[in-house]
Order: sequence, then structure tokens, then C-alpha cells
Amino acid sequence: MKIKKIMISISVPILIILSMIFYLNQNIVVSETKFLMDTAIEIKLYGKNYDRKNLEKLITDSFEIIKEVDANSTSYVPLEGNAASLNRHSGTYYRVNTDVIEQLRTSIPFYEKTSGEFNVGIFRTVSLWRNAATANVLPTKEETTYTLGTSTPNDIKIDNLNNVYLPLDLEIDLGAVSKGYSLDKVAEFLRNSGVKSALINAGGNIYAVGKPADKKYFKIAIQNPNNINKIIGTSKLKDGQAISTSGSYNRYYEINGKKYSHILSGKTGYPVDLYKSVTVITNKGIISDILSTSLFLLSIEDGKKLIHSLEYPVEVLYVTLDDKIFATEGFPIDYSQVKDYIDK
Amino acid sequence: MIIPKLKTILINKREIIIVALFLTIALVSYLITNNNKQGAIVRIEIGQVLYGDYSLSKNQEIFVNDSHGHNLLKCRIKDNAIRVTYSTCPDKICVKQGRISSSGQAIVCLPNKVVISIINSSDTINKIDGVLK
Repeated sequence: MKIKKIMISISVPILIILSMIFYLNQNIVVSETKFLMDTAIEIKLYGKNYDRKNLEKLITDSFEIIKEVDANSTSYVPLEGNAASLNRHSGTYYRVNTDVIEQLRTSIPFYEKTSGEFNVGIFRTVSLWRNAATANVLPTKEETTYTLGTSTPNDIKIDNLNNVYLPLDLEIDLGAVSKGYSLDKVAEFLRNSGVKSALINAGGNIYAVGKPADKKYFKIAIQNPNNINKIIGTSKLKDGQAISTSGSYNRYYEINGKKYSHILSGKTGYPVDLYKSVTVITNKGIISDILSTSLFLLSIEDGKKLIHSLEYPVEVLYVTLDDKIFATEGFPIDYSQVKDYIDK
Repeated sequence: MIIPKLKTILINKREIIIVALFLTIALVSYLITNNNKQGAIVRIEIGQVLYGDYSLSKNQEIFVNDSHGHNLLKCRIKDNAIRVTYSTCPDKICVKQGRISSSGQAIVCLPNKVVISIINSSDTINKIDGVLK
């Protein structure tokens, strides 16, 4: 009887402790979606139940970073040192914040690399098309050529004190850069905060930190450009990889009942519709964002040349206008789940 | 052999308290782990502003209106899932998206700047981790 007494009095606290440990050690996903940068941004952090409060705080902090990048990079709302203010100070040196500097340094060279198709100095043309969509009148070739001006991103000058000189006929638009850039910034913050596993999704650009608890890599579904409720397949995203997609199926200018792609050629200023969608995988968010737009503006041949000229690995998948899929050899695409996927 | 010994144990007051304590703890931990599912909340935001949080376990119809009182969307929560039943947007992509029910899922209506997301549900990790749109 004494033995039974001892057994009960030991086993009860052990059971309590074990169930608490089990409960606290459970794998959880903390996730939040916010509307920022004119799109839906979702951050998912994978961790343990005991860390829940900390993870929730980190998500809040991550969204603060994105809000800051948004305010710094917008061409629409002028704030001291941001892109919109820079645009209002063309023709003179103007001090901008680090976010603008970094995005400019990385994106300007792609003008040359894409023979002028990817142009960060295209804001006046973007404005022209936005206003045209509101007024429901197609812009003329003259208007478009006028907004392109004669200066190119190569004429932008940056000194070592964060001062930027924009030529008088050029204004910058970081719309094809800042979402990817914000992914890298948030990823760095999360890694520095000790987060081992996270997925950041900024409207068509996804970045992976680590891997989810139960798998070797993140599984990403790629939306079917013909039907948003369907996918064309799933892809793998490993630690430190970013995947971005460009396409005109979700965003476009509508003029006189016709839809025009929101991706403009840096050369002609006109919307380009070479593919239904282009998806890129590489190892930096800012690059995958820039490349998904750049490759959308180039033929597959020219796209290949661009990729080969880069020092880092890039994989691409094209969905052509006649619904064919072309992917580079290393692009991880799995078609097996296409039928099972239900967007619920 | 066990049964007569059990009878002898239960006579003692201390043993009754310990067993009762053990059962209470077992019950409480069961309730905690189950309650997480019941705690799932639907969060509706318009732009940067929180429009409202609603319990996913309560069947209801929600009218999402803008600051002038004009109706932008209608959603329905039923059987622990929410879907958009009506929207003023031109393409009705949000309506076509159908139902969502687990944490991490969201319905977005870009033209109306509405985000409907599910928070607080402790569902296990989904097979697909992200959708590239």
C-alpha cells in the first residue's frame, strides 16, 4: 500500500509536468495578413507554443518595417527623403533615405541589362496610364513618348552621402522593386531576432526563412493565370530563396472595356503582354521582384541571355499566351496536386 | 487483486483529493487544447483600419461598410467558415474565392481594400504553405 501511495504522489505531478511540456512544445504557426503597399501582405512564423507571444510581437514589428519601406518607397505620398519627394526635386541633388538608395542601386543596372525594358525612371508614364484609366481614354503615342523623356536611369547620380540627382525629365517608380526589397528587410530582421522558420508573402513575392516544422522545404502553390481558384502546380522554396510572379491577370488598366497589362515597356511606355505569367526563383527578394518584371518584358531568348549574365542562380517558369509552360531545368515544379487543390 | 486494493486506497481522504486533482487537471488541459479551435476569430480590415473581429464559431451575416456607410461587401459565417456573398468590386474575385476556415487563410478584395483573415485558430500546418498570386 505504501508503494501505491508513493506511485500516485509521484506520477500525478509527473503527468502534469509532462502534459504541460507537451502542450508548450507543440508546433504552431502564427500568421497575419495586412493590406500594405497596395496589396495583401502575409507573414507566417513557425515556432513553438511557448514562444507564441514573442512570435506575435515579431509579426507586429515586421509589419512596422514594411509600413516604413512603403512610406519610404512610394512615389505618391511625399515625405521627407522618400521617393515621391525625390521626384519633386529633380534637377538638383536631394537627400533620400537608405531604403530608396538601396533600391535604386540594385534596380538601375537592370535598365542596361534589359536593353531599356526595365526602367525605374518610368513614373511619369505610369501616371499617364493611371490617369488614362480613370478618364477612360487611351493615351496617344505622343503623350507616351513625351512622358518617357530623353533621360534614362543611367543619368541618375548618387553620391556617398545618400544624395540623389534625378534629371529633370525623369521620375522614379519603385513599384516593381519595393515589395521584394521589403521581403529581404523583414527576413533579415526575423533572422536577427532568432526566428528559425518563416514565410513572407508580399502580393506575388514570397521569401522563405528556414523550413516548416514537418517538411524539408516550403510548398508554394502557383496560381493559374486563367483561373484564380486553380493552380498550375506547386513549387519548393528553400531557406533563403525568393519566388516572384508577374502577370496581368490580377492587375491591369481598364480603358473602354479593354484590359491593358500594368507592366509597361521602359522603351515604348506601352503595356506589354508577352506571357500570361512569369515566375522567378532566386536568392534575394529584391532580385526576384525585379526579374519577374524584367523577364516578362523580354522574349524567352533574351531572358535566357539576361539570366546567364547574372552571377547568382535564377530559375524561371513561363506560362505563354497559348497556355504552354516553359521552365528552366532547375525550376522545381510539381503538377501532381493540381487536381486536388481547392482554394478554400 | 487490484480491486480490493483500490477499495482500501479510496477509503483514505488524501487519496481522494489527489485523484480528484489529477482528474481536474486532465479535464482542464483537454478544455485548453479544445478551446483553441473555438477561439478562431475572423478579422476584417479596410485598408489600415480594423473594421471588426468576429467569432468564427457563431453563424452570422456581416455587412462591411465604408466610412460613409456605403456597403462594400457582405460576408457570411456558417459552420466555422466564412465567405464573401456579395461585393461591389467589378470582378468579384473575392466572392469566387469561396470559404476559408483556418488560421493563415485570407480573402482579399483589392478594389475595396478589404482583408478578411482568420486568426487565433491553432490548426496544424497546412500542406501548402503559401500561394503565389
